[in-house]
Amino acid sequence: MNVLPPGAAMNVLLTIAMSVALAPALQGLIKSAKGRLQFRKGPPILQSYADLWKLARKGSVVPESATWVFRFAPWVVFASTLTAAGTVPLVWADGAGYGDAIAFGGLLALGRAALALAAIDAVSNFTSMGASRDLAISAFVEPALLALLFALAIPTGSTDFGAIAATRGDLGFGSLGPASILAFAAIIIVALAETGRLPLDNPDTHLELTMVHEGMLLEYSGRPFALLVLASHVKQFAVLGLVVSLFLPWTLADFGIGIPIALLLLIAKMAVLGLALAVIETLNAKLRILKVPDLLATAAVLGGLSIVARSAFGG
Amino acid sequence: MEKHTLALSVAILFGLPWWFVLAGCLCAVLSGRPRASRIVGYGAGLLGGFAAILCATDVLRNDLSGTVTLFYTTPILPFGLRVDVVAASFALTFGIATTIVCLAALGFARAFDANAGSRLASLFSFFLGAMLLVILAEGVFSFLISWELMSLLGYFLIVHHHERSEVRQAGFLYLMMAHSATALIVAGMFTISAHAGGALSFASLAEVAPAMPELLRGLLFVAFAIGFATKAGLAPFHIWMPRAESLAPAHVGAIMSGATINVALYGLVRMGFDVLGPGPQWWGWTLIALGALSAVTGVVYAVLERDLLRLLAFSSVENMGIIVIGLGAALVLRSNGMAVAAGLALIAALVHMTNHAIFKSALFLGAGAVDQTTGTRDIEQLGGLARRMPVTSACVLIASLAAAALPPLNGFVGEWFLFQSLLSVGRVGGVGLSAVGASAVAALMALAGGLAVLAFVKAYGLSYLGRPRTVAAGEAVEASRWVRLSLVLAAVACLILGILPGTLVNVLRTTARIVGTDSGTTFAMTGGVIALGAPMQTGRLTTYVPILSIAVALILGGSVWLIFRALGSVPRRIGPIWVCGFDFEMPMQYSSAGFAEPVRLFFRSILRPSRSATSSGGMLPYFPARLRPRGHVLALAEHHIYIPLLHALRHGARRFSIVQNGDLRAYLAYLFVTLIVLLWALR
Repeated sequence: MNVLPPGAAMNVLLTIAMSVALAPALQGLIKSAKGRLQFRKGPPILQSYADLWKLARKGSVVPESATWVFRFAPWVVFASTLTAAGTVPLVWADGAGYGDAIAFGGLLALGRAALALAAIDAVSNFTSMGASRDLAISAFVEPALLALLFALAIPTGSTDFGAIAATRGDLGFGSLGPASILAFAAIIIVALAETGRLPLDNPDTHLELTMVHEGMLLEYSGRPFALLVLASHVKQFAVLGLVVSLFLPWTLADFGIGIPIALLLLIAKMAVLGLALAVIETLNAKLRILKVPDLLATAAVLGGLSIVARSAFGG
Repeated sequence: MEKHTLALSVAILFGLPWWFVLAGCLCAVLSGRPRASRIVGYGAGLLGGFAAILCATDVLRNDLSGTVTLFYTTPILPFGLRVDVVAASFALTFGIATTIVCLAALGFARAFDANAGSRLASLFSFFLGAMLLVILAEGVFSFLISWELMSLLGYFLIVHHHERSEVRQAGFLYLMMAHSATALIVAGMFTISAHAGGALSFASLAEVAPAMPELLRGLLFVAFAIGFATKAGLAPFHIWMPRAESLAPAHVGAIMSGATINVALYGLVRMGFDVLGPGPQWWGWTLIALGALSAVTGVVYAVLERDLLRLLAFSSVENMGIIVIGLGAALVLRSNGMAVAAGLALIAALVHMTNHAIFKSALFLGAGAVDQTTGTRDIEQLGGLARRMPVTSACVLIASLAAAALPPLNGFVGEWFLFQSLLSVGRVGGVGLSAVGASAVAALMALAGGLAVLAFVKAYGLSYLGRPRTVAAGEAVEASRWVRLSLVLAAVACLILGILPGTLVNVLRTTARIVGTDSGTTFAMTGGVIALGAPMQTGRLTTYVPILSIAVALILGGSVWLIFRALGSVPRRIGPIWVCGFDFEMPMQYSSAGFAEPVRLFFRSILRPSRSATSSGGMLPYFPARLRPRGHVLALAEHHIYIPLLHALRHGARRFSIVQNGDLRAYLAYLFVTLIVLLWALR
């Protein structure tokens, strides 16, 4: 029985390659825009590539007590995050063929668990604190993600990102009803949390007590660190890519605009979203960690309201 | 014996309980020789469990069935056995858990050789036999006899360390809860039996039950749901489980978490699904609500727990909840005539149950091995075991990741299916109330999943990784050969059933028949591929193909590895960690309480955490030499339900004690009045 759409494997690898190629640029764009907004000169947009290149040629230091878990974890994080990125429809709405939204969430969770175990393995209390906070926050991100996913998936009847995008794309601008706007608000909050950005986590600080995701990376250096940094760039790209392809699905190649234009549109959409993130980060301070569940619960409720709105108004 | 011939696998299944009973008797005979009885008891259990797997698989694949009357206790009370696909699916899980646990127990139970090991092995074998008898029972009579045997034998296994008072308390609580549950079940079964003119076989009950009054059927469903939920350890009826399973010997905890609580689910499926017949929607929603409550409560307490075995027992509460959500979804979908989706939901629940049995029995055995070598199961006193116990550690890691429902392991498969089932529930009757309900439940399940990751990262990371927190942990030795063999077997099963999810699904798919159908074209599986047809998008399938994603992951990892190789090798040295420029000291290592702190605070309005510290030594009160902080959280079920219930009972009893005035004349008057009433009533 052939259940996989022909060419799916190729599409997946292309999607991943695109994410890897463009993700550092997105990170660079956000950083440089943030710099400008804060009246300082940010790093150049291409700085992230240079950083990765530098790290890939550097040696690394491993903590004394670390076991194979610490050494193996970056590979798991890297592979699982990139595999998850392969399920996101960036240019065309074909599903990945090997996984849907649930698998996407599961793969990201696998990477998170591997990193958290490595953080404990390093014995550092900073890394362990990061792990404890990251896992606790993610435990509240997941319900928000699922509520919002169900808001989109129930009308489609499938949890496949490609299928959801295709169904919504067929609606054209009709897919921008009240229900979608509520779901969009929810997905923005979820995206901020998943990508470890303000107001939930501060990606820039190196003050150990305030960071969450960065905290877990503290004991990594050199090549393993490069893998982890690239993985977190790709995760950010994939999550934001999901936002644009689920809410502006008719800009995908399937809707009669061809692959080159869809690719250009993708870059444009991601750039706009990246700039928006920079603005959000500049305008907000980090939330107290105790307030984080409130924000995420808001996202879950918005997802639920979106379902109610859909049964009331359609769209 | 009936006239028709039985298939070989059905006949073997009917014989298996007696095989376990025989082994139990032999163990009892060998009571002076613990080593011999250990080998006989657990060896027979291992063979029996393996035979159960083979036979149950055969029954499921070929859709076999059979009934046999073994003997008549009185001319009207036949003790009969029956096998059909439902019984076989639970026998399969039973067989898997039994195989894993007995294999390990061959070595693990050596610690009990000097401590009534023969008694333990003998009771264990009888217990296995009783569980299988419950699954194979053909009617009310054989079911209840076996059920009661199972409960009582379970009690004796739990109180193996009866010299400790907390063990006796846990055992008593278990007995209380088990018998309250049995009371409900007995009442329910005999009510249906009375409507069937005293017939006792499930087949004849199933003929009359659907025609009974709607209200009565609803009441019966609730009675069965509460009764079996209590025995399955669903919140808020779970209070016995963390106590009993953690204080019993670890292989007993393993078989209880891996098999016994599933037997309770069997009762729920047999009575609630099969005998009572199709019911209104609220039956399903009741189960879904119960399951969601269990899933979240169980996992929150698992996160906060520092005793490894209690943590695992709370995780069982969570997983039972997730399975029951699936069962509830199957009922909701059946009530709405969505036969294919209903069948799929039931399969989802059974798949998760089987997978849970595998990883949970492995985790219990691993924790038991840690307990045996270090003398503690307190996470705060472990650490660094991965270096001392490499094989156990690797297997427990795989099982922990499976328990955290992470791909590509088997724990994820069931959850993936259950989310798909909830999606179908959300589509019941257009997009409306059920959509909101299904999304809320999906969100709660996701919350439970996220917290399960935290719980198992904590349990594994703090006990096996890092540095040993105590001398005992630093001197731990690898588990015995049998335990390692069993753990490797379980870990391989977790991997294979995770990577090739279709295999288990294909074995279990015949069970879909009791709530719907498995013949729909909208879902199809092969070994490695699971694909569901989306109702609206006929051309598109929702797929989960772990083998492909692993291939992609390997390609990605491999290409980076090649890039790194092309760039040339770089030095890797070992160095100290960053602790703000100070030297590392052991108390700096993170603690279990610290790791769970964010969750404790996030749930503060429900759990009402409090802290206290006892200081000692030095110059009190201002300069103590030692400070022992203690954190407390509210035990919700106990605080809100059981303690008030107990108070009410006591209060009521005191009110009623007026009757007990100690005056002989009053008692004679009671007798007289009772006699008059009886004579009048039976005139």
